[in-house]
Amino acid sequence: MSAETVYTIVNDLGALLLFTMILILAAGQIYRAIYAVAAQSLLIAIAGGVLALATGNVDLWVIAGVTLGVKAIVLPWVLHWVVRRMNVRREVEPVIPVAATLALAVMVVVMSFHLSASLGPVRQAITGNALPVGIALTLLGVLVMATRKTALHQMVGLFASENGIFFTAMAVTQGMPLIIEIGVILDVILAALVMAIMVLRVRSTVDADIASLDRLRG
Amino acid sequence: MAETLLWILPLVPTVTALLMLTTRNRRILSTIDVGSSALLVALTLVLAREVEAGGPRSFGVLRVDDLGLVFLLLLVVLTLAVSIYTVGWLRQAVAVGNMKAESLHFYFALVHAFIATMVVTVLADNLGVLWIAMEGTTITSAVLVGFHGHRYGLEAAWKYIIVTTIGISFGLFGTVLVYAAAAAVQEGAGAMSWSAIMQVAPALDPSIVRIGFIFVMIGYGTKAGLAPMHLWLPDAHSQAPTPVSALLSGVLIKCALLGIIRFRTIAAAACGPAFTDEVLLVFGLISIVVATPFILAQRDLKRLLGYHSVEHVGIIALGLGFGGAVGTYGALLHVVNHGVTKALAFFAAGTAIARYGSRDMRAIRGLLAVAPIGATFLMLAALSLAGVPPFSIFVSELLVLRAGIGHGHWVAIAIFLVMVVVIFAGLLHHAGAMVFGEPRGAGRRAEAWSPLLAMMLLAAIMVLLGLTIPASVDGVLRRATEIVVG
Repeated sequence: MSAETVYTIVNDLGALLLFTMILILAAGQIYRAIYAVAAQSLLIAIAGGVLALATGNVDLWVIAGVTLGVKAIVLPWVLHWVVRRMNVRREVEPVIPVAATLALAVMVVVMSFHLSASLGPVRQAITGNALPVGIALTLLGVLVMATRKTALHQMVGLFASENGIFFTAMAVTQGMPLIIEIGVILDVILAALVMAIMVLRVRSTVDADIASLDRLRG
Repeated sequence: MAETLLWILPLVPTVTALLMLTTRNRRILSTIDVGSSALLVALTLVLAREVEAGGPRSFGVLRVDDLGLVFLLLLVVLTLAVSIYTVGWLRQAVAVGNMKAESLHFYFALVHAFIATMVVTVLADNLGVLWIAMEGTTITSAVLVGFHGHRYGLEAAWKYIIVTTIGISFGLFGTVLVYAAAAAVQEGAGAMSWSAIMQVAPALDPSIVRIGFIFVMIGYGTKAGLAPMHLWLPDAHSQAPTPVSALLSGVLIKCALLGIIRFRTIAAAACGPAFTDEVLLVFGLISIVVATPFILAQRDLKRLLGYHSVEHVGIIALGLGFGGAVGTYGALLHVVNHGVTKALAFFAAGTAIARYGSRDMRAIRGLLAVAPIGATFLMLAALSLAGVPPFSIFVSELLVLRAGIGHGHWVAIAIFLVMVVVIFAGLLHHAGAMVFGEPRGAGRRAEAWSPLLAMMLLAAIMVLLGLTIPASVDGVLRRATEIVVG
């Protein structure tokens, strides 16, 4: 694969990643947000595969495989399981209207591209627009967490945010050292499990969404 | 020898955590707890001696230098104090039903897993390992924050895990950017090792490192409790079981500061210290200012201590931001002083709360009459936190102040002084009202010996460091300062 082809593919994947992020931001039903974040993880696994082919870096294959297995399959499955256990039917309105969220998202994306442009050339062969896309995904994940008051939406936002970091790490530095990436993914799984347990625990004791508890103030 | 100790140190609490799962007897659990913590202190002292004799050592992704040693010593001493305190605290908590006897082994296992992750954090040389261990502290301690299982505890735990995980993701992003800058200069696995990056730091691309440092500052700053990312801190510190509060406030937020200091040395070499100092200064001042009104208006005793941590982390950031040898030395000394004092304060507060059955400071009255020794420790801790001589915090605050005057940061000093005076008045008002006056709502019962012993240990260190800094401690702090200042 020529460097130019890879450059194009990474750019296209970046655009698709931003598209899945918009789906997450606009998702009314939690199921859609979960499918969107699973698709996003799948795209990142594909990006890892493409970069592995281009650079011949075996570690990247492993990272792509782990991303596919954990972030695209296991974590969405855990979220899905929690949703079924919680048995939520009613939808909770976001803190601010979806249209306003999307307008904010546009600003974040534009800002990310500006920020990266001011950086000058990062001295790597294959970057494409990975850096601005990565920054945008990370910040938009935070936006999801800030504008949604349900625990599962916040978890989806968190995973999207981590996806942005993984994408940046892959494209800018051809991945962090393998052992570190594995450690990071392990942390993500553990955090997700702990969060899932907390969500279910609150649901079973006080019948409320853990993210909507607000007695602690001042 | 020292290399072996490097991997044994994190292994001790890990094995202890597993060992805890094998029994449910409270006495046996407490014995293992204290024994393991004492072993950790002994091993750390041996390691400190080795480092003093032969300089920094590394083993794989772990490395110990004098900077890490400052934090490691604080960690193990507080761990021992917490273990001793837990003996008596647990007996009382089980008796009144705050802790369930059948889940104690999980509690102890989690505490030691938490300690293991913190040990790795302070010993990590690889910046990726530093991050993984830091996120590990969040996961283990979040469960501990919600361990009581009531809705307030779970609310605090959720806020804690969500806010710090998202914050720490920013830290990972910053780590990736710094790694990218380092990988462009030097190839291979060394690109993530702090000591290797420091060798080539002046050659790193300054614009990337600058953005990376800002991300790290926000990320690890969240975990350190710097305002405005401190929102989780008062909740988590007030809802956690008291021994865990002491560890969170005394050690954990300091571990995050160590992460900031490590990145700061890289960033200062790559883009000049003026930039990093300014960032630290701004965050430090915001923290001090934001904490003040909450300290004055607070009614919940443990939340009060939580907001105090925000203030003191701000003072440490301020000391680092003023920079120079004096400011950095003051900041590092303040890390130790505040850690010891804050753990003492949480211990004293915890016993008072248990006695009155309330955390509302308006309900706690006349403590001196019902529990004279505990009340004395509470008053000592409050005086020290407020910055009264001859306690240790006075010394380090003075050093920070002197560094600020030396570098001519007049506005920052003015804000700092005003806030410290206001907090001084507010804190002594709160403490005086609790300690003196007519007791109500609690009878005079014998005070449990083990919490008093733990408080005695910490109070002794607090007074000692206020009167004089022993030559060996001074040596470690001086060499650590050299590492930071360069």
